Amino acid sequence: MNGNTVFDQSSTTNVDVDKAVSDFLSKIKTLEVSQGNKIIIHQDGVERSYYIRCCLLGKTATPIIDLNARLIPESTDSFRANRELLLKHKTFQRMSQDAASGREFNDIIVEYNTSYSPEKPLKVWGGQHRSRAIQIASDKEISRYHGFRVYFCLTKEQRSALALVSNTNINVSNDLFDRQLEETLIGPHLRKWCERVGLLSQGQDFPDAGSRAERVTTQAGRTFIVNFFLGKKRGAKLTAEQLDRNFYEPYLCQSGVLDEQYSTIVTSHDGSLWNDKGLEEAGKAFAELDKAQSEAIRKSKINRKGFRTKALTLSVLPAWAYVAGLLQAHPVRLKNHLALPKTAKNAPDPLNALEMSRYKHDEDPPTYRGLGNRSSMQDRQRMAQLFLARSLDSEANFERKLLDRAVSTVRGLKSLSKGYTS
Amino acid sequence: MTVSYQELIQDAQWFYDQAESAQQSSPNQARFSTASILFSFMALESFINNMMSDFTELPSGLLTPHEQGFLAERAVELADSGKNAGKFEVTNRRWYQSLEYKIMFLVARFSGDTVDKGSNLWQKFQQMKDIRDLLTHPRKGAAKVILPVDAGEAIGVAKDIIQLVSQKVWGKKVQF
Repeated sequence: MNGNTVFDQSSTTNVDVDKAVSDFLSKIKTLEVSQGNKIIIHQDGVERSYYIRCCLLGKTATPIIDLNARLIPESTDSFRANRELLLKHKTFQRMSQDAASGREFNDIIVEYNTSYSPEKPLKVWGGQHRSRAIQIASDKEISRYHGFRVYFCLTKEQRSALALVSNTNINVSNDLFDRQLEETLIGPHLRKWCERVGLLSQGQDFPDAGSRAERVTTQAGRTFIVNFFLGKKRGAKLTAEQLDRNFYEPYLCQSGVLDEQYSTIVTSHDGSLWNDKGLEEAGKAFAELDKAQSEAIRKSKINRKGFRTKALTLSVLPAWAYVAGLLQAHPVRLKNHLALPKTAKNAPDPLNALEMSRYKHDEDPPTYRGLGNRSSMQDRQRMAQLFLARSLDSEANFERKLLDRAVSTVRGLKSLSKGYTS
Repeated sequence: MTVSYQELIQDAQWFYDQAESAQQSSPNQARFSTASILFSFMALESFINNMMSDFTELPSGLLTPHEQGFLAERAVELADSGKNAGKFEVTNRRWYQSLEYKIMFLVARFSGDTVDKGSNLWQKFQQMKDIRDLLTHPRKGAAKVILPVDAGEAIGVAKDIIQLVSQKVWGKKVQF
């Protein structure tokens, strides 16, 4: 320990941490040091990570704050872990006005890390908007003392936990958690795969709030992968005749956690998954479908977001991927499934979103919002049957008759499994 | 545009409400009550026929030709020529089934259970169906004064039979 720092009584002394804190204090001017006060080093009881509390002037913090913190510092592939800044949001505008009027902020969570972008060593994990407001105020020559919690020598796991914990007291979607967990625990493979097949454009990341975006989320990407392999496993055991005599249960990956099924599939393939030719072909065909659907709706009279993103719905996407996997051993039907559905007067867009939204079976409650709108198991089963039915005929499109037939079939098959055996 | 069984039940309810508020023993009271009973049975027939249609979409080989014929309400005959010669096959000839047979078949075939024909519900269903048959196949000497209470009974029976079949075959209740 040097003369400026001391570990609190609940903390274990750590030489590396002490060195890092001293390095920080020698380079960055804090209120505490300028007043001759000691800096206490704390250790988090849960994650065992080390941090200090200190105050920095706005003008000191402004040039050294990094809003693009990385979960894996050594990887240039590691995309932004935090959510997008909502600079037009009223709350931010108010925050910014307050900062410019002299408001002091507290408990901004940062990591002191010089291993990347060393000119900006304070990597912000909690309080991005406050940090940005401080920067804007500083540009207007308003500089007050703000409270920071500065972490040192974080491990990958500690950093990931910090990113999650720092975001739990604000309205952050599960999509952001998913993105963070994916990058930390699995790596950039899923994002790169989505880029390669066209579900994400080059350099694009999964959205931090899927409800606002019109592209695939981390959860949807994982769900696609899992269903392809679940379908492939099942399809390999079925003869051509047996394919249509079953109903299927496409899987939906959980959001907000690292889904167990996804984790198992990724681990069991030991890296080969990301180069699977069948999966890649399916991914590309699905990206084409998503694009064609979006374009068709943009040109139509009813240009609704829900219709544009129909392919990405969490009943359509898992069912499509499951059937793509299921038909791997049945090449003729696979070809039909992967081909873009033809459009016609009775099906003006590839997925015929309007007709699907009008669909209702007798078993559905009055509040049912149509086929492929929800992510329930029932909707996933129906969509799988629908894609399977279309794969029988290369000319088929999603006209009403096909919807009726597919839903009746899945309903009939489910009931048949309970009845007597003839 | 097909009308759902829920809408038909709502229509039955509307006519029942009209019958209830019409002057007692007036022609309007009988008219509204009659319409209500007919709508109740339309709802029930719609629900049962749609359920039958679901099963006609099953892939071949899962049901016998006789079951397929029953569900499609088509006659089944022994083919005497062609590739199916000597086998039973479903023809295009209409072969209508009664409502109670359809209900009994659906429950027995697709739930592994049977309809309790001694139950109160089944007895009431038979009574209301007799009234409906009188209305749809009128004949001399068989007239009956139709009252709002009959209409109310018909709505109740239609709903209860729909729920019975739904629970047996689909394993869940439906919402009206």
